[in-house]
Amino acid sequence: MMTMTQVETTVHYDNGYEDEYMLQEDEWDRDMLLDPAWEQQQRKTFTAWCNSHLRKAGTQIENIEEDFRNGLKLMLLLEVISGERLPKPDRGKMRFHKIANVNKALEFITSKGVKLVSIGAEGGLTFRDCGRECKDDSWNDLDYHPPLRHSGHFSGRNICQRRSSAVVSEKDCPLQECQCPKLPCQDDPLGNLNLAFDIAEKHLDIPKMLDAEDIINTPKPDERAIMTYVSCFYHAFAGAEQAETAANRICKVLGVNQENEKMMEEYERLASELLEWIRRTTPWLENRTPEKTMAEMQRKLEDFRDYRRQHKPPKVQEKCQLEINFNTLQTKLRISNRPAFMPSEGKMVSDIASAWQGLEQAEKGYEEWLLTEIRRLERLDHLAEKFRQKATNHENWASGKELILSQKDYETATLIEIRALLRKHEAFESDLAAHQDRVEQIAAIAQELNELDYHDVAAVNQRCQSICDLWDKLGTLTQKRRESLERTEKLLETIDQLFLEFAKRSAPFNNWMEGAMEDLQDMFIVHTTEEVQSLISGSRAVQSYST
Amino acid sequence: MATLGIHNEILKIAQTYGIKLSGINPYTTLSPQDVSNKWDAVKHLVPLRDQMLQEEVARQQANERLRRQFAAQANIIGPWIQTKMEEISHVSVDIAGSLEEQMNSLKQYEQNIINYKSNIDKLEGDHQLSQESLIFDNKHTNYSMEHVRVGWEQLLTTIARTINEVENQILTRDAKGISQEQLNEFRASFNHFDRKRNGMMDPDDFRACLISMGYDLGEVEFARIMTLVDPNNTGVVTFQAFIDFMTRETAETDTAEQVMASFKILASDKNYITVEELRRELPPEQAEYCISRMTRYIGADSPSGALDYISFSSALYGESDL
Repeated sequence: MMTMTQVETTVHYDNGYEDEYMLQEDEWDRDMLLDPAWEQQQRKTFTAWCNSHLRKAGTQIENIEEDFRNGLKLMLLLEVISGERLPKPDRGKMRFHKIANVNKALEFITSKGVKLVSIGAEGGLTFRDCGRECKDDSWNDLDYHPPLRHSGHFSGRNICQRRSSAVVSEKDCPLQECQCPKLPCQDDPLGNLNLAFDIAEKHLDIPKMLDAEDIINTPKPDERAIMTYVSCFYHAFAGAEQAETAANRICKVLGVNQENEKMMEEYERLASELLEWIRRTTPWLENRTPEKTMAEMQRKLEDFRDYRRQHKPPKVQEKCQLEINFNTLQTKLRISNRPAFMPSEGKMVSDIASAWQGLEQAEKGYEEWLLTEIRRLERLDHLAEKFRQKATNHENWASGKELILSQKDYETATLIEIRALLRKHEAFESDLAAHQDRVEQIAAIAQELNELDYHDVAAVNQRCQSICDLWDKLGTLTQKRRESLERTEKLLETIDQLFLEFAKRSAPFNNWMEGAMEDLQDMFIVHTTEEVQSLISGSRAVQSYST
Repeated sequence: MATLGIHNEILKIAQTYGIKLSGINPYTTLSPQDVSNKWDAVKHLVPLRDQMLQEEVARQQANERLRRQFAAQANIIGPWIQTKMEEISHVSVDIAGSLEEQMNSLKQYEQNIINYKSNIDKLEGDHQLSQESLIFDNKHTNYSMEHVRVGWEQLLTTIARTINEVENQILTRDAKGISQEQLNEFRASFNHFDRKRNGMMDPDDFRACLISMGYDLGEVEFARIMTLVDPNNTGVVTFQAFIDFMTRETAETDTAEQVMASFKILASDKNYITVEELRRELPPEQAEYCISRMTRYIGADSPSGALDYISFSSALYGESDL
């Protein structure tokens, strides 16, 4: 039989209720213990509550009487709730085993300062003690406002609001957002309650221990059942709070680790890229194959300038960034008490430094080589052109000379002509002597072209050779011609002399002969033989004269 | 021309005395016409040569102007870079203002340097012209383009590095709660023992420093400290590492024990944690991180799939269980 005490119609949220609540307790005890509806409600709530804890140990109960009989699950429950280990249970199937276990459980509970009312191992536990078992201070913390002080209406709002206020005291409960908007100011208590129970089960892992219809329709819903249910909220949150703090701490630590790991990966990646670039670029700088023309070399110089102005500066910056990242990472690791970062093989600070040094060495050598080469090619171009010009001039001069020198025109020349030819030849000889210098110059240029490794030096040498050969030939021919001319001159002179001699002699002889001829043909008149005799001796004298 | 005059003489005589000349001088192959033509050619070549030489003079003068222009700039830029390098090194080494003041100063230098870049670009432009004109030396300056480039690169690297050093010092100071006075003291000690004055101590310097502070070090102990202070074996002790060593007791950081305790809570007091628990208690990213990194727990009472959070926590802090 229940008495209804109508006290207020509105809900108060101040602590004044607690005293009254405490006063009423004993009255309720007596009244409610006999109510089967109440007992049913209790059972349901209690079962669900037990299961919410037993779940953590991986087990469940269906029926309180049966499942707690052997005490095993009871001990398990207590272990879960208290977080402590109980003495090892007896696993036998005999009744005394079971009793022993239940007693162990009860001892444990007593040791926690919980007053056990009307139970014994042979009896059953009532509901109340389970509520007490859950951390004593929870009752104080819980901002509990009995909804029963309400006129028989049980507005679902109260539980929800109570939960909200509990929720509000937690910091970042993400559930609040999704729940509160659904808690309207509607007057749909049944709907609200069911909604609340649903959400609690889904999100807080709190099983439905209460029946919304029961609560609303019962004039005095069981406060303890409701308290038990609500205490689950508290523990969900308190436990959640502790877990949340722990999880936050872990997340923070892991966050730092992940950040550090990211920085390490970044370092490794940048290091790889930089080393790869160095590996690609160094051979280009070390390549010293010479080009043939100055234009090609100047293009190479231009490429080098571009490299220094455009391609290298970002790499310098990358290297700097790598160093900076490394130092910052080490600092952060030191500050957060982590071990120092050891880059992987081949990517150590020293590896990068030495690779970079190698690059810069190659760079320096390369530019010097480029400039030397360009200077060399400049001189070569100049010399080659000079050679060409001089050789052409000489060849032009020399053309035909061979033929002229080989002429045999002296064979049909007169002495005067020979003398003229000799004059001309003298002029030619001085011309030749004047060209000796030039030929020597040409040879000297060819020599230098050889020393400087001119690419087309074969053609040059060939031309130079033919010039020199011709030169030698011309020299020889000149000499020969001179000899011939001189010889011919001498001969012609001799002949001339002889002509003169002949002339000198033949003239008077001619005169005498003509005298003698006249004499020999002279008309003679002789009168004596003596006169004939003197004529005969005269003509005989002519005979002997000729011999 | 005397030579041609002779020819005229001949003509005159021939004409006067009515002598018919064959026109050929038996003594030479050169006709007066040849001589005349060649003389004209020579006369023609003289001005041409003159012109060529004048052009060359102009070219050489232009080259000289380029040299002077390059030199004028290089002679300003070179010393400017050197001065900035010195100033920057003073900012970090001298014991002047707070770290924030140092940072401001350095940032100003950085901006200064960024603004100066246009001068370098202009110099490069002149350098390109020089090289294209085949100018390979310049007696008006000791700074080649390469000198300037190297100096500039060093400057950029130095300012970035120095700024980073100060940033890291700020991080360290804030994490460890070191005061400016303490920092100044550290700086003073450091500078005193940095004999080479290059912002870094070599091991001998460091050892002298430790001894002066009363550490009595054997070889082994010193070697151990060196691995702490120079873990990457660079052979030098930076100011950063120095501060770190001097303040290694004062950091308030997470420790392995604290992390272990946190895991223990999530694991409901067990010595191992399960995959489900990790997924339930931690955000998905962190949960998967742990799951993939934790080793299996080896213990008498553990189910399969149990993970060892204890050794995981130790490993985070570099403490090995081995």
